[in-house]
Amino acid sequence: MSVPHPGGDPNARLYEQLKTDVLKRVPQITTIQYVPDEIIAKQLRATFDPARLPYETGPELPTLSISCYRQTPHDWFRVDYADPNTGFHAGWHQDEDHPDLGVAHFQYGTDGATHRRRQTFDHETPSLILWEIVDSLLDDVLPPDESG
Amino acid sequence: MKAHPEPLCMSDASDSGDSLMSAHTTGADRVRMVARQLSEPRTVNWIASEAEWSHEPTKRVIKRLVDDGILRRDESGSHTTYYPDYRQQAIQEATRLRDSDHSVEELTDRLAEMNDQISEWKAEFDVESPNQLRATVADTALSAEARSHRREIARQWERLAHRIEIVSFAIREWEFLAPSTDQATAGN
Repeated sequence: MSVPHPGGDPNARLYEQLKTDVLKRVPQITTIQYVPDEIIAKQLRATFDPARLPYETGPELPTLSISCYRQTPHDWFRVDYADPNTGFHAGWHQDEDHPDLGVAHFQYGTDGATHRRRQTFDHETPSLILWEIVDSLLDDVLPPDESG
Repeated sequence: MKAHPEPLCMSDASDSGDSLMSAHTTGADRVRMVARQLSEPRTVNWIASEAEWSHEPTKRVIKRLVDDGILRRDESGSHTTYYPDYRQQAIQEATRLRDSDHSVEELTDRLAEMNDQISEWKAEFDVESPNQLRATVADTALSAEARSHRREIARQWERLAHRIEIVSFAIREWEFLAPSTDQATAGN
């Protein structure tokens, strides 16, 4: 007989783990908040220092909003970058919205048009998936800083 | 500001050895991240591969996590596997709330808000649980948008119900979870 798996909620500490495992370690991120507050904790919201992003933008603070829920067979999450200066947005979603694109999809656009495509991740661990997303955001999705 | 080009595929980026993750985490960090978020019992090999670290140091970190009660070891199968004790994480989260700047009254107010939200969903959809709400998604009279909305509410409901358990625990055990300086003050 196998040892019973200790029960409990895999979501209990998830946001705090994403915060300490990833968001607090990203130099471009300046603040991290729970939304609406740390008691209800529906979402995490990180803000970027616009001066440290790999492109020129305005003074408003771009944000990364993270909603995540551990469930079977696939964890559910939406990670959304939004730049209020330009209207640019990019999202990595593992939800039920576009089953034609598979389990997860990536979407991006500015104001009106949103483009979507299938997305796969190299990891299964939520913190490591968030690292993949932040890495992709800063290295690929956002254009390089021409002045650098 | 210049226009955003077509972003590259994620797998193109994650293949590089100089990723942000490798720059800002150690192998031991990644093993701890993976170990605390396992969704099923896994072997040392699996954890090492997921954490992109070598086997022996992974094994040493896992042993420490077992010694600290963060991971449980199961040696009953053909391979030794490990699984996190999520009960411990729930208690840690309640302790974090206890240690935050919030008062017990604030936690109680938020708890009431969360319970009110669930009561509203029960009334709105005439169901008693998230799974009962999910069962209504098959209703052919609903639009695709309405079905999606119900799935979303069911997930939020489930999440809120778990959050209520943690906040309730923190309130119920407010004195027990008090930092030692508070207890010392209370005892004087």
